[in-house]
Amino acid sequence: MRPTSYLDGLFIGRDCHTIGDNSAVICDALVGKASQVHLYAYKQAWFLCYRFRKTLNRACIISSQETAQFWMDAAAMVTLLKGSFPWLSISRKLHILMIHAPDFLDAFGSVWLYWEQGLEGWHGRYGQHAARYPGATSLERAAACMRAMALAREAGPDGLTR
Amino acid sequence: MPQIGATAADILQAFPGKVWAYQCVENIRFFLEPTAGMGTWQEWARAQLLASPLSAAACLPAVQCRQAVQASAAGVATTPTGLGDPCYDRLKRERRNERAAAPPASPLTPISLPFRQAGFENQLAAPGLPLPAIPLATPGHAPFTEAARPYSDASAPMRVSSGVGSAQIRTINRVHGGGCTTGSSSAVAAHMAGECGAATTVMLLPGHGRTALTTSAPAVAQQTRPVDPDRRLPLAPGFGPSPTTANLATEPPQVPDCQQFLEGLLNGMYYAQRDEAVLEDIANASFLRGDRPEIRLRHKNGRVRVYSLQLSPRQALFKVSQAIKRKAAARRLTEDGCGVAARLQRGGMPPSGGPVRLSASKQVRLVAALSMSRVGFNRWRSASGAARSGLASSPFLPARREMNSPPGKKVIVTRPGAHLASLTAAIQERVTALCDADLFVERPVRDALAVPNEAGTAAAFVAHPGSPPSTEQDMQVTLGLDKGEDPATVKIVATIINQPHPNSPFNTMMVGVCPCGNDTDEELASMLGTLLPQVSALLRDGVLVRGVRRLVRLMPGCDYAAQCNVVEQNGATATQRCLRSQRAWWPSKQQASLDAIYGTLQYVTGGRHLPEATHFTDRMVIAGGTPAVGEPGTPEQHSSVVRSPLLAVNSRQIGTIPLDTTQGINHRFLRLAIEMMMVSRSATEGAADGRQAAAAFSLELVKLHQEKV
Repeated sequence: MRPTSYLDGLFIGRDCHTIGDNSAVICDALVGKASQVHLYAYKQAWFLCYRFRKTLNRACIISSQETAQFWMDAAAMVTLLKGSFPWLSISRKLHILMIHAPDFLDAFGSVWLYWEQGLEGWHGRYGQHAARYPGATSLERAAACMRAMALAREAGPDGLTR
Repeated sequence: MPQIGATAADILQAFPGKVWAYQCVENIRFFLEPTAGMGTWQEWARAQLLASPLSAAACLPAVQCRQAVQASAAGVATTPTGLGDPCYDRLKRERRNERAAAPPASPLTPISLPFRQAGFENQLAAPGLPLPAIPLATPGHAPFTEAARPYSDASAPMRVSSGVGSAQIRTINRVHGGGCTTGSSSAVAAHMAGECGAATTVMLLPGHGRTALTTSAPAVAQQTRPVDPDRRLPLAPGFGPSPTTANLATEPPQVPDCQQFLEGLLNGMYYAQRDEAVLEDIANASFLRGDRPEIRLRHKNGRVRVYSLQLSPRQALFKVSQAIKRKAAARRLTEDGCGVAARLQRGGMPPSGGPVRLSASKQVRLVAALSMSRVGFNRWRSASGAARSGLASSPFLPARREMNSPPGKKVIVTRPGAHLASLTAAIQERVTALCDADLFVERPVRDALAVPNEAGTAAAFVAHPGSPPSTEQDMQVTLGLDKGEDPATVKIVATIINQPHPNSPFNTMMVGVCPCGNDTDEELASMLGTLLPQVSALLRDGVLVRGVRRLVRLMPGCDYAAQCNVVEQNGATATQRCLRSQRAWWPSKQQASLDAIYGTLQYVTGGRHLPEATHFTDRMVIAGGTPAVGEPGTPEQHSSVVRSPLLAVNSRQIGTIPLDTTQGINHRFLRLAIEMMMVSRSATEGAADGRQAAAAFSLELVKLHQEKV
């Protein structure tokens, strides 16, 4: 795993999932260096995070039962963290995870489907294609690229087979 | 005679009726023939007296007899003989090795048979007769040695002595070609039967010889085997009987029997080209016996069944086969001009047919998707055979002009950036294409949006733009903007959720590109100045889905900073965690209970639909929509809202950010590990040591991640 400088130095993509999958390594490194109470709560929090992370990052319609389990796991994790580590502040993401993500999941059936994944993908795609289009300024190149992308929109696999 | 526990006399005494034991003609040992009920008999027999014949016979090993030979003279009870399974396999291996080592000899080789058995000195071997090995047995004779064992290889020359010290050597003609092991084994079996004092010989039955009859040796000498003229085979010269090699002209010509022919065939003696025609005739005679109307089969119980050939159709109505259907489907794809893409998509073999012809418009789309320049396209066309390639040349530009004409593909350039001329038209084109391809997916909204208010009663429905009631069928569109790349540009992308794989690059549409240095409120307002009227029109007019107009449910799909800018919110602050929640420092019962538990004002609770989840946008819409209330930063303005939102959407439809949330939680967990270690060390060794140990542990954690995680 390689830590990648992105979003304030956080881990991105598969790396962040890899950290969650290998949380036992981190817990083992803490043995003897942290108190037993803290370490137990820390392991429990990782376990709860592991359970709801799969629901959060899956691009499909989630069942109502799994949604309820997601809400319980997220709330239990935040409560456990706050109760076990008094100095911990509830960040915005923890707040969204506990309060708003279950609501959104309950209403629309999925969180990942409505994410900006396509928008992030356009950064790389635009960077690859924009330089090939002529234009004196970046605005002209952007316009040429947009025209081409508007044409290419219907050249996808399903578009060509129609 | 080497025996294992029992003699022939013991066996004959142990089995008054049917004898379950036999003597192997190869290693002269007695074995039990595995038979049903033998286990029970053995248990009973072993319980008899220890030295009794019955006990001795029961202790014999049970070995399968591969080649049984009944060798007993008339009126004389003898032990059955046979060839045990291990000996049979060994002999077979030896025979195979010898054949592989030595070239095949002439099929009719005179061999000398030195008679060594008393009583046979004056017996002439029948010349020219394919005699089996002549068994020789006298009471008390020495057992066969390995060199003199006549059945070791039936194809090898065999010498039979006419008596001890006799120099008389007689020859008989023996047909080579695989040899008949049955005969040789039977001969030895007869020899073993000679223990009873009768000089016997074995005559093979005309069939296979499994069952042998014992006759006296003179009878064998005088007996001539009946020769079936129908079995005469016109074999190639050098194989089989040859008149020139026959000893006497008066003798009937040598005709190999079926067993010899089969063995010769298996040994490859008849694989010459000149034998093909004959072998084919033989095969035809065996397998194609003409039009036999019926087959009669007699079962063991005597019942006769008659099988007759009847033809019946397998299906009453014959349809087009699956192969023809596939060919027709491939032909349709090819005629439609999309065969290439279909094959690429499915990864299958290209269907047979003519060249694939794409229409000019599809060629233009494909060239655009591949980012191919005009020069590159012309080179591709020339390399593919120019006009024969089916690629367009002259229609290229008209098709491009024609395709640029729809408003959904027109691009307008303003000062902040380039935008689509009509967002509604672009989305309508895409929805129509999805409906035509039957790829439109319904995404029903559950009723969870009806959040109760603080009093616990159902909230009054606030008609947000872009938030139709959940009871109506809608079409969901996310509109996101994000800054990225170097030089930085802000991309505005619309995604139609009602389709499979909505986040695929082919399924999203770029609405605008704005080169900018920063996405501050002012610049964002300038960028969206062209787009916001289009969004309002889209939300007002909706889109046609299969002829029915539907309202659009709009969802901001940006990152958190852009979301805050769109709704003109300050962003995450210490007093307001997110743009969907009211600030927390106002006292409430829920917050008071949290304070009692944790001594903090921060959000920690498991309850859903918290009072603090009251949405400021509701109040704004009720208060008049877009006008700002009060001066920014004053209590009159709601929470931390800076000014009226650029896009007044239902904040409940603002999507959470799953990947960012996962990243943030992981980051928080890693930081928490360091904090745990620092707290633990500080409690025992002081704050300075705790900080130092935490710094060392953070490096250890990074190294751990790089190595193991």
